[in-house]
Amino acid sequence: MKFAQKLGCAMVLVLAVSFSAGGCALLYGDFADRLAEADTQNQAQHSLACYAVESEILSLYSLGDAITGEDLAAQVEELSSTAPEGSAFALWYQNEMVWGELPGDILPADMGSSQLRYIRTGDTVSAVYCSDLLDGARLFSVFDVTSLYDARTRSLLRFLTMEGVVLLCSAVVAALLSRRMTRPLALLNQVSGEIAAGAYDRRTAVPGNDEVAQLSRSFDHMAAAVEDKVAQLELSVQQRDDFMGAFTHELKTPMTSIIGYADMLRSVQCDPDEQKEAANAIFHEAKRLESLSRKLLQLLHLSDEALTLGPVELERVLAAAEKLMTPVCRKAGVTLRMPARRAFTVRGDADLLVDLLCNLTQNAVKASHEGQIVEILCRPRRDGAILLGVADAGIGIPSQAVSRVTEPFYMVDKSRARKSGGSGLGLALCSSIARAHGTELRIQSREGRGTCVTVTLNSIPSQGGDTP
Amino acid sequence: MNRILIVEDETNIARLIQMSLSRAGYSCTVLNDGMEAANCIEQNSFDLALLDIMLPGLDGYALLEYLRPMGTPVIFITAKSALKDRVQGLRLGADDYLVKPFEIEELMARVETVLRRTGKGGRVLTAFDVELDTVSRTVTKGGKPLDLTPLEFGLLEQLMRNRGAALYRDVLYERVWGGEMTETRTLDLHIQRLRKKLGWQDRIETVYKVGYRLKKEEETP
Repeated sequence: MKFAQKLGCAMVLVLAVSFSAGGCALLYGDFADRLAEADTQNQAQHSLACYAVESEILSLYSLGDAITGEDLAAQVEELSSTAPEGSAFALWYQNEMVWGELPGDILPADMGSSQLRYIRTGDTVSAVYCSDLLDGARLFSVFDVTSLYDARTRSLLRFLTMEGVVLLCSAVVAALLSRRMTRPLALLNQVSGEIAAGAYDRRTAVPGNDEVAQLSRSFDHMAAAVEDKVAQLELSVQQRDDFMGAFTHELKTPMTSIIGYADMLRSVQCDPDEQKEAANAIFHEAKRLESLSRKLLQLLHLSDEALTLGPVELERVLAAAEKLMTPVCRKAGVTLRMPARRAFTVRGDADLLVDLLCNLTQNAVKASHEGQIVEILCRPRRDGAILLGVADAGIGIPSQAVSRVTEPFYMVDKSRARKSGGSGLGLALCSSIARAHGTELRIQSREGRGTCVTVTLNSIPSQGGDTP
Repeated sequence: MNRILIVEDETNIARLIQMSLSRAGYSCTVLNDGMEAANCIEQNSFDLALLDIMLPGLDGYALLEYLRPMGTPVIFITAKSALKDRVQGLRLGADDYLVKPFEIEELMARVETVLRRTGKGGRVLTAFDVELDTVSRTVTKGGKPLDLTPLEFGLLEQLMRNRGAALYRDVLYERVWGGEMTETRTLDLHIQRLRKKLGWQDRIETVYKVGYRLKKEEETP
């Protein structure tokens, strides 16, 4: 049974009970009033009759005559003839019925003085009054009160008919009302089904302030949380898929070259120039793969393991980076400018910081034209933190690409990146290194003007006594 | 000689395709940029185009639009192996779709198939007065049919495809017989028989320590 039906039935039931009880109380109260009214009248008439018979008895006494039943019966007969319709009298004298009769099977001896009884015989209801008079006479007055009872029955029938109609109407109203009240529940049910089926953007938004509306708000709140979580999961799956897609793409290109050239070398005897070309291609593509796998491993390593950061003397990091990068810069015809030597100590990982500087410097060299300067930056900020980074005056990054350059395998100019042996992982790696140091990579770039990439590191006072 | 346009921004791969196709007797034009390729397409006509999809300038799909009105068949070469990429490529009207990494042998086969299907040749290999039909697998010399065993046919096909280049014995064996070469006698015997049947005693050269080589036309006296 549905909740709406239960609610409707309960409403109708309560209505029926209270309506019936109220109606009955009203009807019976009314009936009792009328009966009492009739009783007063009848009582008066009975008293009148009693008085008449008693005065007859008294007058007979005073005359000194012997009282006989016949005398009294004559008196009662006279009374009866003048009595209004529907009333009758009976006289019981000296244990004998001398006039009239009693309705039903009631015996004169059953009733005592000043008693009232209602007797039903067939369809007729009679009110029987009884009074003991002088000299063993007992007068009964019988009044027909059937009309009162009939009226009560008619009222009851009318009331029942009316109640039936009212209950029918109220049942319809209750059904509509309860349907309306439970509609939000049906909505909640339907929406939770839809959400379960995958439509995470569905909401209930039941208006109002009642419990159902509160439930709806909580439900919507929950659905929003679920949607967020699902979106988050989907995004991370998407990112992983994109990463794998980009990664396989990056693998396939050098693979094609390596397999193709190797196959050529092994199947036909090429002339020395071709041989040299093929060997070169294989070498460079394999180097590209090697660099790709190295960077990828580093990237995975960084994202998997928590680093233990210790004090690092930046001077050593700078020296190591300078040593590694000087040949690269010389080869590209770019001047590498180092910062002024000052002793800074930061919390970090020395190898990773060297990697960071080397990757950034390589990028800067690739972006620079011959004769330009690539500068490694290392200076304290006002708040005591150390700014470490690389600046160049090269081709810059288009503004719409700045936010994407740290995505793995994202390359602004793919063919240029390929030619210079880029894997598209350098900045992703730098970004991971920065995150591992609890900071972010800050990229400022203007197309055609140059790029400056920096990180901010927490400095710790150096033991050497130098001011940081 | 079929003219083939190669548009590929990976210079190494472009060179590789060029070297292999040139050896097989195709005339190749290599371009690394989509814009340049579009200009080139407007000025020249080609029998077939091999297009990378992701190109600087214009992408492969855009180049396909340039090539369609000219009726030039197109083979896409790409690292995108997702089914939807392939379907998109083929729906746009590409004749074939080659996924990196591919082997040169496979590329050759696709090129030949597409050329053959579009009625631009690729069916018959010719060397001197010998014609080899790769579809019906028959050989004629001076118009007369020649009876070759399947193995001999395979050997001849390999030699004709790599004309002028010395083929290593083991690779030749691997490609014709399949599997690794256990002894050299079988291959040498078949080459002898082939020479005799074709009358190419001096045209199929033995290259010392390497294998065999089919001479080019201009080298014969």
